[in-house]
Amino acid sequence: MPNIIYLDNASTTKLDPKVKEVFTCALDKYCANPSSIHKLGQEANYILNKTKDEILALLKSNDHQVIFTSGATESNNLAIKGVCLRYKSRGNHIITSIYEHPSVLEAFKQLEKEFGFEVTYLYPNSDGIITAKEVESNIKKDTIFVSIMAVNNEIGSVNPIEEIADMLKAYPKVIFHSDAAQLIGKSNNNINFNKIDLLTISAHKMHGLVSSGALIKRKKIELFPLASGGGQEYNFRSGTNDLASALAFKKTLELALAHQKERYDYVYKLADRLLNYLKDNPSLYELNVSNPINPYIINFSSIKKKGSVVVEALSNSGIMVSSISACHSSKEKGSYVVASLKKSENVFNNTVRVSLSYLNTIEEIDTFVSTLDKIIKDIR
Amino acid sequence: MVSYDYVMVRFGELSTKGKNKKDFIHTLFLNIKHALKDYDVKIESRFDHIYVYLNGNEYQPIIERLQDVSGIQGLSLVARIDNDVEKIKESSLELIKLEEGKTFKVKVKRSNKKFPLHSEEITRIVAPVILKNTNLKVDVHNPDILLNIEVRDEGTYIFVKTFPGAGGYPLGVAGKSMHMLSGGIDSPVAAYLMMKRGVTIECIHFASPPYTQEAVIYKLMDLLAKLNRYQPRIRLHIVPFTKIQEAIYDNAPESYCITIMRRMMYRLASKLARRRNCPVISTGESVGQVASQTLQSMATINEVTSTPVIRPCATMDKLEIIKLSKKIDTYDISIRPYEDCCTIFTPKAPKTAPKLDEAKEYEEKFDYESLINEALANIEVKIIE
Repeated sequence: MPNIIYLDNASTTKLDPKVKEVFTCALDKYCANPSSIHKLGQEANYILNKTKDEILALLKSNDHQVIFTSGATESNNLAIKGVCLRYKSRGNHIITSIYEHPSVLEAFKQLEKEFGFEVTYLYPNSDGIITAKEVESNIKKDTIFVSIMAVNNEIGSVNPIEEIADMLKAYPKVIFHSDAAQLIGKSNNNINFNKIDLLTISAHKMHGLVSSGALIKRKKIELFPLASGGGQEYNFRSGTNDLASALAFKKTLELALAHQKERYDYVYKLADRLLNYLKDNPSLYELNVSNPINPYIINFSSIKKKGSVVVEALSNSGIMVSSISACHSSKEKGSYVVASLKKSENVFNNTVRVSLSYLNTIEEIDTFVSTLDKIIKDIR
Repeated sequence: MVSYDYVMVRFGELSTKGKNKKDFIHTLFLNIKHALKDYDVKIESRFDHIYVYLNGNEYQPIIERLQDVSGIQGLSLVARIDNDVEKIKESSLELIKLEEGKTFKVKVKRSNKKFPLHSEEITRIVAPVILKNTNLKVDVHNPDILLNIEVRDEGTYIFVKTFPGAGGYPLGVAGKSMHMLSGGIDSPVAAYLMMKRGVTIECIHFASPPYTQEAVIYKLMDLLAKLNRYQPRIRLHIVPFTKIQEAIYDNAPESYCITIMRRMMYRLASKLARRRNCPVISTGESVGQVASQTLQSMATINEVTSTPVIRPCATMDKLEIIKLSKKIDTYDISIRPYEDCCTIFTPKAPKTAPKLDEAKEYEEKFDYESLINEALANIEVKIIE
């Protein structure tokens, strides 16, 4: 097996050794349950709350609470079902987009099928973007909730979540959630998170721990708890607090935000190299977002050769990328995200997603380009 | 106090095998020993049966395990007592009282000719004891409880519960087959049927990376792990097939590609079979199921080899095969959706009646012999146990 080149960072990223150190030290150091009333428990509780304050400070937020979760899937479920079930009496209409992560889409479908909500699924424009205008034109009298992802996990398109939040100020009944799993630490804008009611964050997408996430929630918003029990996390998410994970989460976020600018600029150079190659060969590849502005996720389709075969051939050459579809059966439906861009079947059935991190090198991109070029020519 | 301490293992078809019988029993003995290696039991091999001394273990899991071992006709949960009339009377009554039912029949077999009473006489002594001391009535045609008494040299066995075995021959006594394993539903079932007949298998699989995925190999390993219940150690040969497949598609019209691909697979399988001392090849093919499995296709494909090809599923319906695959627990693995070398590049109209002459004509266009030898030289082997 040749050296591994890992270009699947939108799936998960390598753990930062500094995060690992914080985590393992905390495991040894804090052994008490933060809910216990004895000295050790209270000390743990103090540190937990201090950590939350530090996280909010990192996000420059003064109106929010941190609810630690097992990751983005749980954060999304808690935000969506938690809000809609809690405020059901205010209205029955909710809005999301058709190309959200499954943990958002399936939660909405559950509300639609099991709880009688009316759901509007918005389509992105040809750049893969959901505009504030598009959201606004779909708001009804009884709309209570909007969930639009910050960065799409397959095509990398960046949605104007601040604009959407600003627009929604005129609709005080509507609560706004955004799944920012692919945004935090990977943006070149300083987003004002204060504007967002509920924000989903995942640690392992930014070199933190798997099974570690948070829902950043505006204080005054209440949630219908999905896990009932001992009343931890303001009674919205019961279960013994994991202080070591919380500390690791804070370290992850701190590192991701501290280096955000330099990493973005670096990854931009990598992406540029790759995009130039793809754009130079329009007969072989189609870029699924014509003018990508997010360097971390690049999605293209192999026009002439089967996408799943290209991905397998890359894998056999030691290069790990995704073809999106988890299953490569003959019944395969392709990428629903790329399909939502109104692309042809040949395009959405043959997608390849390259997702970068600051740990990748220019040499790796060059190897990727030359290997891909050879594969496309060699395979049938 | 008498209790069911033994499982009696009956051989079935073995008893017709004359001078080979000893070897057969020994093989079965070893297979049973291996199957029960996680249990602290004692296994006794005797002329007519093998006995498993339960040594305090629950009988159900042991019987279930033994039901997977080929070459066993039936299994009975037995009590062993001394060859003594009084003991036989006493124990029979004690054991029949544990059973539920209204009617009974006593069936006696006496292979120990030194025992002073004939089977008829034993029946006439035991039955009245039961009649007198229980509410049971005799029914010789359809008894609720059949009380078996077998008088043998080493003691008398009494039993009521009998379980069917897998049948067939002990694994290994019938030799070895090179089994073509695709990963679909049929080939694991065919493998099981071969094993059941006493045939040890080695598997050959054709991999065409990157058209087929690495995940298929994990699928095969999972399938063979299920078959380890019947054959504890299975060798899997993974043949790199990409170059051959590409050459076929470069040189033959689409409609003949499957035919020629199958001919190449049979060539490879026969060569490997010879190298691994397997006198036969086996496959999961079923008549008419797909274009390459029509009778004409089979004939045109089979022409490349003189090695006998056994197709245990040949005449089975797909539903029967699926039923068996569920029984041996391979179905859920088989339906995992990966391309295999037979589904990738599927032509729109494959020939259902390919002509031998034409197939040969297209094959002559490229040097497949050297490609075959190259593939054979680069086989990757995995042992699943």
